[in-house]
Amino acid sequence: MKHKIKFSPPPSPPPSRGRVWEGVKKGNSYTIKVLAFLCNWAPWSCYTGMGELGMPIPGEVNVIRVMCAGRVNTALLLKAFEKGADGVLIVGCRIDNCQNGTGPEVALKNIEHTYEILNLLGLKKERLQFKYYLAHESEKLSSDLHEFVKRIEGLGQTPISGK
Amino acid sequence: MTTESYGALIIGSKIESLKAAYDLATIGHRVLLIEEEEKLQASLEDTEILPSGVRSWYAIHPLLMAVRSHPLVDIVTLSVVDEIRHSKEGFSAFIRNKPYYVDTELCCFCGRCREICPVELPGSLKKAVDCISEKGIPRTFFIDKRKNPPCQKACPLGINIQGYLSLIASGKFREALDLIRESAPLAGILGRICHHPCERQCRRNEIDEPLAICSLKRFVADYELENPCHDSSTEPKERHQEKIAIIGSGPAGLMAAWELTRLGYRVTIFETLPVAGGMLRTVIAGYRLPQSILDKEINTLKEMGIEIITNCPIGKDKKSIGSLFDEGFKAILIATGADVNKNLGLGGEELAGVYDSIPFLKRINLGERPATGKRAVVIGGGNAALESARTLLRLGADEVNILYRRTSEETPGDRNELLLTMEEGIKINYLVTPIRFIGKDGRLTGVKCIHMDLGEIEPDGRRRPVPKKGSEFILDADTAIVAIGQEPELSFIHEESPIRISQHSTIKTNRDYHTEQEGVFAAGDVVTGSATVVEAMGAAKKAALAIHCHLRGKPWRETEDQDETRGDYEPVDPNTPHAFRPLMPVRGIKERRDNFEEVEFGYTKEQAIQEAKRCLQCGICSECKQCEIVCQNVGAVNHSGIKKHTEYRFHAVVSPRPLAEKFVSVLPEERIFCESEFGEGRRLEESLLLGAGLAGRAAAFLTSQMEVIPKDSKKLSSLYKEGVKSGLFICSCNESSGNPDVMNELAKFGAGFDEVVHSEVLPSACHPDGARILAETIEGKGITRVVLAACSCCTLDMICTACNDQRLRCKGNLFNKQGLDPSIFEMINLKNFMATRRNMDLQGVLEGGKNMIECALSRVKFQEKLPGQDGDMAKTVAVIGATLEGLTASLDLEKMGYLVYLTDERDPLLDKDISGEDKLYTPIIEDICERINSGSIVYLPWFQMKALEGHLGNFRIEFLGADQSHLRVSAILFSGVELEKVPLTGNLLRKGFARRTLPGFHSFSPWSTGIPGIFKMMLPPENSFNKKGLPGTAAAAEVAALLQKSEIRTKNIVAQVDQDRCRGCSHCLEACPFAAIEMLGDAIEDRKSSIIEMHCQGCGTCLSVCPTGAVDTIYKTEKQIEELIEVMLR
Repeated sequence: MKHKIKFSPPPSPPPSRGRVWEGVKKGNSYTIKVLAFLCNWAPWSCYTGMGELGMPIPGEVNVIRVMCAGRVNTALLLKAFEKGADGVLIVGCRIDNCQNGTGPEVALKNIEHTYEILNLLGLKKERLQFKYYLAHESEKLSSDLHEFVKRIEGLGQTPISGK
Repeated sequence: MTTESYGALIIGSKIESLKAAYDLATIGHRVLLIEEEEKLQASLEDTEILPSGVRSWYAIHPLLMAVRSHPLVDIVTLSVVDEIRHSKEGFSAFIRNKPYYVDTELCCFCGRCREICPVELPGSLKKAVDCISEKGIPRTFFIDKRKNPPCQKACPLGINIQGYLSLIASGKFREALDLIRESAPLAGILGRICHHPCERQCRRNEIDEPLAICSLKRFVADYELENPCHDSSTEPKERHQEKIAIIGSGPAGLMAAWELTRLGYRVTIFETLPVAGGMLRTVIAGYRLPQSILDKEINTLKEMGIEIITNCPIGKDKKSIGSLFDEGFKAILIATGADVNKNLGLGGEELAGVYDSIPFLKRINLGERPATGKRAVVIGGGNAALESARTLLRLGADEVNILYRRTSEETPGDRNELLLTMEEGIKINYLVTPIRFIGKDGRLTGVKCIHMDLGEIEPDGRRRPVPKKGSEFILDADTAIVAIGQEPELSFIHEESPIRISQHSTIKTNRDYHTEQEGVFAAGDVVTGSATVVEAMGAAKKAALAIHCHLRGKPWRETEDQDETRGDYEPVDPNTPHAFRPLMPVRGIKERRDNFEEVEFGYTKEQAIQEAKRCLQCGICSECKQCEIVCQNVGAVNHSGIKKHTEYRFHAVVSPRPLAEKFVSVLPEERIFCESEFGEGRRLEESLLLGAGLAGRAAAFLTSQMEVIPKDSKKLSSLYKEGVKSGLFICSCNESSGNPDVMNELAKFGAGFDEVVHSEVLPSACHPDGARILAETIEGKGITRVVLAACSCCTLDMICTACNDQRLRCKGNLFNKQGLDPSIFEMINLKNFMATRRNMDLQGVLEGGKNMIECALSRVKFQEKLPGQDGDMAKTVAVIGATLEGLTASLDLEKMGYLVYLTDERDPLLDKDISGEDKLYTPIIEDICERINSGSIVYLPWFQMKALEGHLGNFRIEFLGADQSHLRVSAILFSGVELEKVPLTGNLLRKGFARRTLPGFHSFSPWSTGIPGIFKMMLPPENSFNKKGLPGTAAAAEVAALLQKSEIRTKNIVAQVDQDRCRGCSHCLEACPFAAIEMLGDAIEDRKSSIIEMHCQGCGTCLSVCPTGAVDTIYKTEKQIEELIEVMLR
C-alpha cells in the first residue's frame, strides 16, 4: 500500500506551539527508501522550518545532515546505493550562497562522476539528484521532497538488494 | 542591584546595536543590551532581500544568536532606562523592566501554555499567552495582561470573573469552580442570590447586555453537585495555634471563617439559632435558595475544619465577649448582621395581621406555615419586601400589593427578582407610602396610603419622596408586612464595653475592622447596616485578613498593589455582533404557588458555554492559571511577575539613535557613542558598518579605562574515554514534541542495546535542571557516550541559520555551565523529526524514531575526541595603505592594545597635499605621529610587498625595504589597495581572494576577503558614513574582534590528514575554499598536505576530492556517515 500524504496548508499560527503528536491512525509501509543529504546551512534551515510550520515530510525520506553538500563524496553516494537506497538527494545551498564558497560546485562534480558509475551499474541516474535552496524556502523543499519520492516510486525499487 | 560593572550599555536592538554588542563583547567588554520592546528588533520582520536573493533576516540571524549566547552580553528586554546617575563609584543606569510573566531563560517553547489558554482574542488567532516570534530573541511566550477587568474590580470578593468565564467557555467547569474558590466559598449560594454588582460594570453593557456572571457561577456550582469529584481544596501553607471566635454564622461569619481557616487558624462560629446560615437561612426563601444547597455549602466549610456551635447565643448563659477570651480565643469577629426590623412608627402596627418581615420570614423558613390572609400588602422595596410578597403568595394570598415610596429606578431590590415577582402577579405600587393601618376588632382591615412625589436630592443621592396632598386612599388588606430595612441587634454588647456603637445602632470600627476593644473585630451588616450578602462577605474577607495581620503583628493595608505597568483594556469594538443572554429556564408560574420549590433551574451546559463566550476578555489574560499548571514541569510561567527597577553600573553608552537629552546632560561627551546623523532605513552593510564603528570607538575608549576580560579557556572534564557505555536521553519538550507513549517506547528501545547503560525521557533538556540531571547521570553511571534526542542538532560551538534560543541554551548549559565534554555527545533533532511527521500514524513515527535512535547510538560509538585546543595569537596587525581609514584604523587598533605596522606605498604623512584635503586629517596625523614616535605604531613608508603567505595568527609579509625584509603579523587590513595586485604566495597562492562580493550569507562580513585574517576596508557608497573615519574604526573593531575570538580555540569541526595515506597530490589544496591546507615537505615525494586549523571551517570539501581517503573531518567522520547510511537503510 502506498503511503498517501495529506497536504494541508500550513496552519497559522504554526503548530509547533503546542503538542504536535496527534498522529493519524493509519497503517503504512513504505516500498521505497530515499536518502537525503542535507547541508547544514540553508537546507537544514529549510528542514527545521518545515517542522516549525508543520509541513509533513514523506515517510520514505531519511535525512542525513552534513556540514556541506560538497562533503558528500562519490564513495558515500555509492555506499547509499549499495545498501539499497532507491533514491538519493543531495540538498545544498544555491551556488552563490554557499557558506564555504564551493560546496554546490563540488557536489555537482561529484554527482556527474557518480552518474557515470550509476550508468555503468545499470542503475538509472534519475535516482540521484542535486537540489539547492535558500534558507527560507521550506515550502519548496517540502514539495520537492514529495515530488522526488513520487518520481522514485515511478522508477520502482532499486535492483540492488543491499538489505 | 548588580555589583558587576558593564563596559557599555547598548540602547536599542536593531542590527547596528547587535553588531556593536557582538564586537564589543568579543573584544572583551561586558555589555548590557537594553530593548524597550518584548523582543530584539532585528528579527524576521526584516525582509529586505539582499542582492543574492537571501532574506536579510537569515543573514543576520546567526549574529542575533551569537549576541544572545555570548557570555559577556546580557540582554534586558521590555526595559527602559529611567535615569542615569553619576556617583563616586561611577555611572549607574536605573532600568525599569516589565514582566513577561514567562521566564525567558526557562521557557522551552513547547507552546502548551498557548494551547491550553482559553482566551482567544476576538478577530485574531492570537491568545492571551502567545509567542512573541517563532525565531526572535528571546524565543519565548508572553502573557498579555491588562488592568484587572471591571467586573473583578466591582466584586467585593475580588473573584476572578473573567477567569472563570473563559474556563466555562472552554468547557472546563471544574477548573472554573476551583478558580472561584480561590477567592470565595459558597459559590452555589452566591450564584443564586448575589446582587452581582459585577454585571453592572460589564463592558458588554456598551453593546447589548452584560454577561450573566452570577448565573454562570451557579452553573459551575451545580455542575459539581451533579458530577462530584474528590475535593481539590488545598492545605493551608502554614498552621497557626491561635483560635478565633466568630459570632454569627451568616454570610459574613462563614466567609471570615473560611478565609481564616485557609490562612491556617482554628475557627469556631457561635450561632444563636439552632441552624447555621444566618440570613441565608432565615430570610432568603427556599424558592430562591433551596435549603439543601445551603446545607451542602455549610457542610463543605465544616469539612474544612470550621466548628459551628448552634443554639449558643452570646450575651446570655454566661457566654460573653469577655468569656470567649477566657476560653482561649485570641481574636473575635462580630458578624451578627442586621436582623431587627426598623420600625415604621405608624398607628395600628399592633393590629393582628401586621408583621415585621424578618421574624415573619424566619418563621416560614424554619418550617412554620402560619395562616395568612388573602389580600396582603407589603411595605418596602428591598429584597426582604420582594421575599415577603412572594412568600405570602405561596402561603395562599390571592392578591399581594407592594408599596414603595420611590420609583422603580430607586428600588434597592434585585432587578431579576423584581421581574420574577411581577411575573408571579404581584402588583408593585410605586410612589406610595402607608400612613396608618386601619383595623376592626383588633384585626387589620386596610392600609391608608398616600401618593408621593419626588422632591429634592438627598445627601445619599436619591430624591426625597414628598407626600402629595389630598391623594390619600385606603387599600383593603388583611395582612401587612413591614420590610423597610433592618438594623443590628446589639444587646449582647454591654454598656461598659469599650466597643462603640453609632447612632444607627451599628458597631463603629477602625478602617482595619478593629473595634475599640483589643482583639475584637466586626464586619458585615453589623458595621454597615443592612446591605447585601456579597458586600458583607467582602467586608468579612478583609476583616479576616486584618485579624491575620493583627495576630501576626503585621501592618494591615487595605489596597492591593495593582501593577501599574499593565496596559489599558482594548476598546470595545463597535462592530461586535449583538448577542443576548440565553433564557433562564424557570418553573411555570402556576406551579410556583403552594410550594417553596426553586424557581430558576439554572443554565444548561450548552447555554453556559454559549453565554460565557460572549465575554469580551477585558483584561486579556484572565489569570485562570491553566498555563501555570501545564508548565509546572518547566516552571517558566509565573503570573505574579512584577515590574522591577534595577541599577546597573557602566562606563559608556552606545546608542545608534540619538540619546535622550536628560542622559546627555549627565554623561560626559566622551562616554557617549552615538551617530545620530545617519537616519533610518539603512542597508544591511551600512548598519553593520555603523555598529562596528561605534563598537570600535567604544572599545578604544574602554580599553583605556578598564582591563579587557580574557576569554575563559575552558578546561573540559575529560569524560572522553575509550570503551563505549552509552546513555540515551530523550527530551519530551514538556510532553509536546511527540506522543508520550512513543517517547517512552523509544527510551525502552534504546535501553535494549547492549552498550546502553541508561535511557530516560526528560521533561526539558534546555532547562538548567535538565542539564544538571544529564551531568549527574553521566557521572554517576560512568557514561562515556551520550545521545541526546532533543531539538539541538549538533554539539559544535558554531551557529547556523537553523539554530535557535533553546538549542543554544541547551548546549550552553551542558558544555559551559556543567562543563561536559562535547566529544562524548551526539545530538539529534528529534523534535523536528516528530514535527515533520505529525501527519503520520504513530506506528510509522515510532519506527522512524527507532531508526533515528539506532543511527545515533551506532554513530556515537565512532565519535572521536574533538580537539578544542587553545591557540594563542600575537597582538600584531599590519595596516596596508595609509588612507584616512587606514590611519583611523591604525590609531584605534593601537588604542585597543595592538602593535600596528602602518605601511604605504608612498609617504602620506609627509604629503602636504593630502593633509590639506580634509581638515579631519590634521588631528589624526598628529595622533599617529605621536604614536610613531613612542613606538606603538611602526610606520613603514615606501612599502612594496614582495610576498604574502601564512594564516590567521601568523602571516608573513616580505617587502622591499631598507632595514627589514619581512613582517610577522596576526592579521592584515588592506586600505585602498587593489587586492588583485597583492603578491600571494605559499599556501595562499592558489587560493586568491574570494570572488564573493555580495552580502549573501551570515558569515559574509563586508570586511572579508575570503582569507581568514585578511581584511579589506569597507567603504559605504554614501560619503556621509565616512565622517570621523567611521569605516576605519569599524574595520579596526572587526579585526580586533576576530583576533580576540580566535584566541580561544580552534573549532571542533576541522579536518585531519592521515599522513600515511596522503600521497601529496594536492587536490585538497586546490579544492579548499579557505586556504586551510598547506603542503609540507620539500622534495616532491615527501610532500604531504597539512591542515591549517585556524582556517579550516570543516566544510569537508577536501574529503570529496581526496583520492586516497586520507582526509577526514573529526566531527561526522566518513566512518560515521557510512554507519549512518547502513543503519538507515537496514
